[in-house]
Amino acid sequence: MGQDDGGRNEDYDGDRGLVAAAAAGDSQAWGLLVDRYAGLVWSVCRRFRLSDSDAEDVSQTVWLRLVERLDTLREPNALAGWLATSTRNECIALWRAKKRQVPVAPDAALNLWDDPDARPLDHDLLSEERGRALRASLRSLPDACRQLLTLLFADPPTSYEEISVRMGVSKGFIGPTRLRCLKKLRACPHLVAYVGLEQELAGTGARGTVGYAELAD
Amino acid sequence: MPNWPTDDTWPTDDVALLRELARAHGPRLEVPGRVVDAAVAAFTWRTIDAELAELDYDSLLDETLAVRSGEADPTRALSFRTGGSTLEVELAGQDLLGQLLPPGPVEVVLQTPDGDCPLRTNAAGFFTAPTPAGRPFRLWCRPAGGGWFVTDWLRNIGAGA
Repeated sequence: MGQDDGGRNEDYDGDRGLVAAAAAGDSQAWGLLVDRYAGLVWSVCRRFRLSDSDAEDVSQTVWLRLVERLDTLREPNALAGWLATSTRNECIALWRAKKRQVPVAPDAALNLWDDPDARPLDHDLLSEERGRALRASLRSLPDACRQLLTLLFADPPTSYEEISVRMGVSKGFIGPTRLRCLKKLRACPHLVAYVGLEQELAGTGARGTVGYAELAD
Repeated sequence: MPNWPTDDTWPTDDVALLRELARAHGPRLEVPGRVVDAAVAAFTWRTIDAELAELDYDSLLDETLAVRSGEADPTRALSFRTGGSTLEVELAGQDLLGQLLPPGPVEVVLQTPDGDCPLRTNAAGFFTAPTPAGRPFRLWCRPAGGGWFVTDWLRNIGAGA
């Protein structure tokens, strides 16, 4: 998903425009929303360890419900949160329904809540959004910065010697450039927006998130 | 994880940020094509000519019931509310039982992404229907003398699950 379009879809400025266009009947805008968030919905289903068949039904149901809410989403930029919450609720309902098929100890139905894997909302949402923000930010950097950082985070990482040869710069130049490029990366609007999302979730009791706000100061 | 070069000018934060960059550009969860297709096709089911009846109650999401349900209880109760009417729905096994409130004649269609199925109703607004196990469906209702309203999409996840 989203890997064949060169990432163009990730460069939209928030969801508001796409939600408004889809609400006005623009099926292309809807397609872009699906491109952007199908992975989020699917990852929540996966974390609840649903079968393929159950996960397909849950995903389809969530998207069908979203269609009817395009007009009434209170905050179009909170779409990711709505999708993650709706998918989680549908997964929880499914687990409860399955538990009701057989008699269970009174406490067993509650164990779901104690399983860290069964509370995936913040983790999945932030993980997807963080990846998206980082990719978009990297793309928005000047060519030289993008090239240097890409060489640096390669696995295995490119040696300074090789970077020096490939980029035609002296080795002593690489360290300071790296610092400057990472600083630019942190200032990218995509990353700043992501940090805002993380802080918003932290304020509503999210747990276990990467302390990314500190990284991007 | 790759070992990035370490030296005095390599702050921990920068290492973490590069690690995040690597992860963001690594393999991503692949969503099956048919799942994406179904999500794209969902747009064609957009309702423009009916009132949406909101889900008012769902016993599956009722915390108080979950706490005391020590016995198998396969019946799920839901309630949808619209401007002037309420639709009570019970799902038991494969079967759906519906009742319009206040009671009265009503036209009902069970809709799935695969097609529509008109249901037989009685004069008091009571109806039954088999449901597609696990698949999304919704109910279109037109009370006598009124306009169409349609429920949210739901799934009979108790049936044969």
